[in-house]
Amino acid sequence: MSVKEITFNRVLTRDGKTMMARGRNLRLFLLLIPILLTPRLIRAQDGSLEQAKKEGRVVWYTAMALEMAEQVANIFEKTYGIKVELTRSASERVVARVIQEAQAGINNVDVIEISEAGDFALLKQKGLLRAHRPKNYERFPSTFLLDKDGYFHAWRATIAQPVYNTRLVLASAVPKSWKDLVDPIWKDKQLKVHYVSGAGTNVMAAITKIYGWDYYRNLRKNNPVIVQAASQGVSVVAAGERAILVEGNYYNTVRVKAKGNPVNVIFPSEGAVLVLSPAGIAQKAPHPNAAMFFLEYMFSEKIQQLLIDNTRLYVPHPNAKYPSDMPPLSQLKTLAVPVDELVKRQSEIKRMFTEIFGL
Amino acid sequence: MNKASSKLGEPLAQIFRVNFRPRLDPSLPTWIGACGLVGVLVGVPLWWLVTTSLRGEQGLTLAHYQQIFSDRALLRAVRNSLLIAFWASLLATAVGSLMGWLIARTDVPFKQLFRALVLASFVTPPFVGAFAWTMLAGPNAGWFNHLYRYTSGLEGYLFNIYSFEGVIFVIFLYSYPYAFTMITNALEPVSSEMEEAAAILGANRFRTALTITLPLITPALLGGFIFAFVHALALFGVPAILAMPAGFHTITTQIWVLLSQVPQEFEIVAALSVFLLLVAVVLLSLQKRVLGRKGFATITGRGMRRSPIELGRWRYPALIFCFFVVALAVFLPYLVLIKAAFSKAWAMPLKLENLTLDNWRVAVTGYSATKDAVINTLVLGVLTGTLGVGLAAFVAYAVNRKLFRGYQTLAYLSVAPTVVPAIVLAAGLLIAYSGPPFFLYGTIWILLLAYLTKELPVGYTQVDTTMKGIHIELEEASRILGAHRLSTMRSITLPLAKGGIIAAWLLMFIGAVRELSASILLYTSKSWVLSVLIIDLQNHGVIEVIAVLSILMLIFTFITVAFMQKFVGRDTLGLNE
Repeated sequence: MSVKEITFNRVLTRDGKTMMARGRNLRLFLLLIPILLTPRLIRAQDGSLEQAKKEGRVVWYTAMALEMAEQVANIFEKTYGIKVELTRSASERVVARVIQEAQAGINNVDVIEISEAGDFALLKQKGLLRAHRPKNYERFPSTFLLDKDGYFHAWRATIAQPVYNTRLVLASAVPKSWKDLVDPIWKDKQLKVHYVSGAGTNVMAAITKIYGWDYYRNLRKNNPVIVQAASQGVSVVAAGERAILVEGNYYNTVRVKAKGNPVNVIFPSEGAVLVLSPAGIAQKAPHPNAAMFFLEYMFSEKIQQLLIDNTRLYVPHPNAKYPSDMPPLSQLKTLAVPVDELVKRQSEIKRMFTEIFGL
Repeated sequence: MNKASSKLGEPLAQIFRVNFRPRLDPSLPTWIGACGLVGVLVGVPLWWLVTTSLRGEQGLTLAHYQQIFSDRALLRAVRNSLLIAFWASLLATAVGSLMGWLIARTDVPFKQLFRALVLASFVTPPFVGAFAWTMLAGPNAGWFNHLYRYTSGLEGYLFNIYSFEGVIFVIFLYSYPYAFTMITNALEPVSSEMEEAAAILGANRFRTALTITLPLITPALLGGFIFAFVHALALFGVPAILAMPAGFHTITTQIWVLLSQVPQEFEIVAALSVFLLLVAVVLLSLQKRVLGRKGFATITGRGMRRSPIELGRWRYPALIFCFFVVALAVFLPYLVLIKAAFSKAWAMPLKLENLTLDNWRVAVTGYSATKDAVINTLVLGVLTGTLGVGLAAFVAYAVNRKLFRGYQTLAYLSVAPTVVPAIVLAAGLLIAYSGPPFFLYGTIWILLLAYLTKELPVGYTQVDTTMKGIHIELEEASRILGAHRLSTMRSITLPLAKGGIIAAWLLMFIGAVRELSASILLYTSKSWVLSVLIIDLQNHGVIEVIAVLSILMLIFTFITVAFMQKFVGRDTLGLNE
């Protein structure tokens, strides 16, 4: 990165008032306006490595499966020598934690990444995020652009779909649709994910749009065990403790299957549910430069390709190459719930889930 | 500079030593200081809880309490908690006292071994037990159900640990030692003359047991029951692992969920906490009355004769019964944990190619939180033990030597935290110290406060017992010979109380290391502890790694217990939690 670009970045990181106060920078700024307005540069600060290194660490709260998140963190640490402090929790818990810490005046988190866009909109609304557009964002597929103000972008997309144990479910008996899952033959054999998980909320939002809450009232009759996260559910199915996980996901199943476990996914006829996982930077990030650097790293071609290769996630990067066993997102029949709808229905989903499943 | 100050210092020192000291009565400020410190530890969080529970949009309100009893979900959680605690403690009292009687009174073999194994069940954190039991009695993959299907050729399952009964069962497994201890403590000092008298008058063994022994131990039975009940009510880990997947809440898991979602409902949590606190206070004061009632004159002045009751043909069934209990609480869970810790996937059959050491590598180096958790856990354990034992020893000394007026208040305050369930304490601390003027939330210090408060009664009771055994005349002799109180303490009291103080330190250390119910509300990603990590990793499905961490936690605990046995050299299984 050239020196010029660094100076220029500094100008941009300041808000309007600070810039006006610095007459010297103002002139420079006016000169730069035409360049600034070109989209390539509006993406703004990608944080210089030196500044990020000076801060020494970046704190990342994530809802990604632990193993994969560790891998992303480890590569970053090895490549740049900046420590990643990783905390993994269910989406809702991550958000509750961020809000709780903000209320207590604790600035701990730098980068937040969860699987529930509705909750992310809540964070933005509470002023807990800062805008940052990753490199190449204008070339991202529009599905991944979740916020028009650039506060958060989907870092990855997961296909939420039922997962079954191939030893416990005969090939002929494998359910073909979401509808099939409420069949009483699956009584005492299912797992369902709690609404604290992004997969849980997204699937419930999508399925109730088709079948209404009666779908879940019927599912309740099958007496499913409730788990807190899709990743937990997949390993319970893998161990043979339950036959079917209602809201599993593709990337976790691939990961667990690769270890030789008898699991597989179902592509339901109504469509799988596309769960977008937004990432953004905390407003009061204690390591702002490292945060930006890490976010850019998350959206970099190398890491995005890694997400595809290792776990079969869909990613926004325009150069991403998908292997033959992954159908292009455009050809996949998916049900996606828009962000504003997730925001609107959040309390309804919680209330109905609690009413039906008792938790 | 040095010279000048020492010149100045000498007369000052003289003044202080000769003139000021005798006039200045240090007891009042010390009393205020000690009571203040202990009072703040317990008082501040509880005060915040009560005020928060009454906080309304305008002024004070009881609406949050009304909500507990009108909101169906909350009411269900309250009912579940009470029912689970009732059945678990009933079972624990029945089994624990029967076993206690067998060990204390009869000729059942391997008594010392069983005592050790009851101690092992006592120190096993209940959440570790619950986790192990998911692998033993999960309806489909659990060992027992595999065995059942294999032997019977039937479909389905025999046991489902993810159920109401499952929660009761696991809580029972780790609370029967309370009744066991209370019964053995009640029976051991009793001479067997009365039982012999009954036998001479022609009563058979069981009539004797029913008419003599049972009445003797009734207070202990009731006391053990209430203690187990309050303990069960306050547990978080077992319902978190077993009840939530089954789709029901207890008060403790409900509190946790209300605090870990958006928006957080502090007022309801405070109201639930105060309710839980009131139940505990009422029950424990009831227990105190039961146990404090004038007992029977069981301990006579004449020489004690104790001859074990001969069980005859019941001897081996009794042995099998005892063995069965400890197998369920200790052997089987430990076995399944060890197997999982060394397996690629825990449910795979035990074959060489399924074995791996990789889980240990992942647990120790793979996940960055693990190292922090182990370090924090040990640091907090050591700090809790050290600071706690200092405080406990000071209070116990002051109370026993009646150093100042009002020492009873101090004694009372020091045992007051016993009645506060850990999760209630934590909710109070969370509300009290996460806003101005104290920002302790997000550091390990808030955990230290919680642990210190929770363990103070443990340490105090232990040191107090020791202190009671040291007669004041030894100290008086030293004082008469011219030693100050402090040097007397150092050269007389402390060496005599050493065993008790070390025991108190170790007990508080264990308490802190295995603490979960308070930690779960107070931890942040900057303050991981091992117990919370074990619960948290459940959500990631890395069962094998959790098994490794559970074993680590058990190793810490057992090393401490071994030290305790060495230093104190007697039965350390007191009712100290």
